[in-house]
Amino acid sequence: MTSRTLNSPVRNIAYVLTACVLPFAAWAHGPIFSFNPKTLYKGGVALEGSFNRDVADGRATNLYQLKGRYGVTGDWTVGVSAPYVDAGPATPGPLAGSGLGDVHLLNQYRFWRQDSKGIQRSATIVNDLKLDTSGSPQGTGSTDLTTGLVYGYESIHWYHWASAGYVWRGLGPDGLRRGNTTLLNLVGGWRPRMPVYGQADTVFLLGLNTEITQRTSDHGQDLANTGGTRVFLSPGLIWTDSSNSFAVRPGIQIPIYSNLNGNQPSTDYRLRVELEYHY
Amino acid sequence: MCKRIQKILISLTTALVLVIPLTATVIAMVPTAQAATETPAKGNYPPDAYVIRVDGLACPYCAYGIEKEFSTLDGTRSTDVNIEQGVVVVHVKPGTDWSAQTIKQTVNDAGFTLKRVVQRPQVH
Repeated sequence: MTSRTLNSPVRNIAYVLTACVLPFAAWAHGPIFSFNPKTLYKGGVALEGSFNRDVADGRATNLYQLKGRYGVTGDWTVGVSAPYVDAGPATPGPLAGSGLGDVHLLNQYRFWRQDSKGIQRSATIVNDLKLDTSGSPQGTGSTDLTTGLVYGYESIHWYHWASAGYVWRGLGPDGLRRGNTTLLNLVGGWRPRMPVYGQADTVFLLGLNTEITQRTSDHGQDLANTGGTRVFLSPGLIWTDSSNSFAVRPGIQIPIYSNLNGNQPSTDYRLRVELEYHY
Repeated sequence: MCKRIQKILISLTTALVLVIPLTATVIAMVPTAQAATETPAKGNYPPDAYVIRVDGLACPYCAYGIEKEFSTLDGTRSTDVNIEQGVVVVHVKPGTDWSAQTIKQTVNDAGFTLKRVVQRPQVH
């Protein structure tokens, strides 16, 4: 198979992409860097703002995201999100700078739920359709679809989630197709104190996130310095206030294994802070 | 210079957002007897309320949906949730009469499962 060297504009795409892979995934009271089985209650509205920072080889890409969700039923949630990407001026090329990213349409359907006293087990399918709406260098120029399947166990003191997902990436501008990604996640959570309705609540999280990305192709030819495998350890927490309608979710992804093809920027860390209000 | 200010703001914001929840956690770890008595003990429920056992209640943020869903029903005055006991107490206006199916559907719309109705309002 022929491989070509990653040229500067495409390399910039790789930089921006690292910050765009997973901003959709974390919803409500669940994992920060992976899929969540929790859906909104019927008629519920959730508004979320998040700050994502990806640092690779010392270069930071910031992504600010606004997200709105609506509970169609107790088991079906739809939403929309719009990111603002700040790739910084450090790297020359068309993708440097800041601007609106592509709009995402979100869908989440919980198809199985088993409840007992203080425990909820559930399984949910999650879809994220990234549209080609940006028209600026901060968009990827393609329509991408992410589908994930997640199982969750939530109890008063302990949580665990397991999920798998796949990102199909469409054909971008100038014949560029970024590599599809397989996502595998395991997350555990611990609440140290008995939760009381009407009081603040905290759950500590620790996740293991794997991303396996295929090579990017340019007019059907694979590019050498693209694709590979990354594994992250992800500590974080969920804090909710005494009104039980406001949540803060900070988390950090620390790379613990990386096997990237060719010469690519290696991720130093990823930071995410999410604020959510539901009513 | 502008970039430097942005970096300082980002660092400050991040530090604050990380410190506030951690501080709140430490404070929250101090047991509070008052909160535990908000929902009456088993067998001592207020007569003007529906008392229902709900399965799947594990977090206050998620249980908020229960309060919201019952607030949409005619007759609801207020809702208390006891997560530890899996009990929801819905105080209602006199004359309120919900069917078992209405209660079941309301709990389901909140994303949980009705176990049983423990008590219906005794004052009409």
